[in-house]
Amino acid sequence: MDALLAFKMVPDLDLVTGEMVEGESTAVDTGYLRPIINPDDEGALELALQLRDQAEAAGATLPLSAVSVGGPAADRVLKTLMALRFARAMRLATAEDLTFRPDMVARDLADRVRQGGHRLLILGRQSSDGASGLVPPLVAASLGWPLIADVIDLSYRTDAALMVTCRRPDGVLRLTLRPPAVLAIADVAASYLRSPTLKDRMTHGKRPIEVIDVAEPVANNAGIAPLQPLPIGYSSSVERRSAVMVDGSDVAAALSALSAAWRGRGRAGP
Amino acid sequence: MTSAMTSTEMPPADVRYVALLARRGAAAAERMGEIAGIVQRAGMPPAAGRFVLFGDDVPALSVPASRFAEPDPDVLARAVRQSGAALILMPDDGWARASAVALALRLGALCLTGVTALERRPDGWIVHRRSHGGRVDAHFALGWRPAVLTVARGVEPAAVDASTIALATLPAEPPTALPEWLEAAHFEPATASAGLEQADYVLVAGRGAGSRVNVARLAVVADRLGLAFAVSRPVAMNAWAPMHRLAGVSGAMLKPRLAILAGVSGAPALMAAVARSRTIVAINTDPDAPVFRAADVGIVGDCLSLLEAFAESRQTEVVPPGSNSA
Repeated sequence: MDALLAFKMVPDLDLVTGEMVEGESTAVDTGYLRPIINPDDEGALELALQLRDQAEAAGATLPLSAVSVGGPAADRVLKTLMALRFARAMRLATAEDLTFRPDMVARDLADRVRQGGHRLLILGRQSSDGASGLVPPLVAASLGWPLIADVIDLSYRTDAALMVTCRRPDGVLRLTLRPPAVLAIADVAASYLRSPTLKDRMTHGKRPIEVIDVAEPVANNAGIAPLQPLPIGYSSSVERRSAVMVDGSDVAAALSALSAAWRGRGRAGP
Repeated sequence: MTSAMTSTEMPPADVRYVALLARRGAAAAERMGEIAGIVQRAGMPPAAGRFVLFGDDVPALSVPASRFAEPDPDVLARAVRQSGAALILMPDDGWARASAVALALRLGALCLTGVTALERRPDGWIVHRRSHGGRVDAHFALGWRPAVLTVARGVEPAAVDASTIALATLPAEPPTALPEWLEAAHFEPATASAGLEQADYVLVAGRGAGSRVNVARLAVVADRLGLAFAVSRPVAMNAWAPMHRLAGVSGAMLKPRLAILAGVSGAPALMAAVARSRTIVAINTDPDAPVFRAADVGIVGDCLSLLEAFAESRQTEVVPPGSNSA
């Protein structure tokens, strides 16, 4: 068994304090935000490393490769993954912004899975910026593999099976799964990507990453057509209320404001 | 179209998928006629579930599905074609998304997930959904093309009487065997529930609480005040509180009369979950915290000491929750 991990670099939206869009707009500026690993993808990367740890503890191997579609912001992460003993770390370089083109991302990823002969594709459930949530189901459909959705944990069983824990609306599902499969990771607790050891950095971190030009559509399209049109515009999602502000250093005033809200419960209009 | 759908077959939560169209404006009733179909996993018994497809003018259909795999997309596509549906609305968990895509590919339809609103314009449907970490509302023009949409959790329900909707079952058996890629499957129903979605009065603790100990003290305050206790995602992810207390788009969607947000910064995932609160009180030490923009009352200060003092002051007055006399 071996696995391909797909991740995306996204703007660090936690740094945004104000509104990203004023009124109606035809663009969202994220250029000023530093790129980070998409949070769900970062959870996927760390879960895969833990799965490899378990395989190695059982005397088996579980080679991991990584791929990211997009610009050079991913390169530093790819280098870190090489230092974390990934077999390959690839960037599929694209000419255009694919934030709202899940069909093209899915096509490139499916193509990469086929070329690498991988048996597992592990990726985050959705990106924080484009947020279409369509890439995992589209890749699964393209490959004809089952999609295991809302995965929160993985554990190694044998070379031919792994246990996958998934969240369902009404509980938790534990599946013992025979690859191939696409695993979409969501809301993993403690999901930060580990740092490589100094020794691994020196031994493995100097191996080159691969940059592959996919600007031209690949031949093997596998019938994936755009499912989602490009956005025609954007507005702010923030629903404003006109807060009555109270300085809490005046404890009496703060308690009085709380009391007023407490007494008025259910009376204020929406 | 024989048997009337009972409330067991159609839990109230399902009705939200109708709501989307009714949300905007006076033409709701007219728009309802435009809904061609809704696909919804009906109340799922432990071993099997099914999808229900219905519309104003089409017989409701139920499509068998197992808990371990979504319904056969070919069966689903056949049902949709029979119904003449042009807009298919589905729930929005990751599993339903897989179904939505498989269905859209078979129908040659568009597919969007996490849809929050739908507008009818002269040249077609406009779909709204969140992007950019929930901070932006992105608009997509569908024209009149057929589309499969998964509807975001928490979208406002409309007053639709589900008991008036008839249901017919497709002549297909639910899958009983596990799919070949599945060696074993075990389902553990959620046992712990904080009852957050039904609570009228809620205290939500955020990262600004500062520590596990402080979160526990806020839980005590909530208890003393008779408030349900919820936490934001960073608090749950730090394991300062159990996951079943999580409020947010991946946790409970709240609809209380009063929500007190303690040390909450105002991240979109949480704010979407409290947006339907009638009154929002936010307490945060940072006067520029985004949470204040979405609050009715903003208190700049330390949430824990203020709320403990408040609980202390209430303790001396015996006031039942919801009473207006104090």
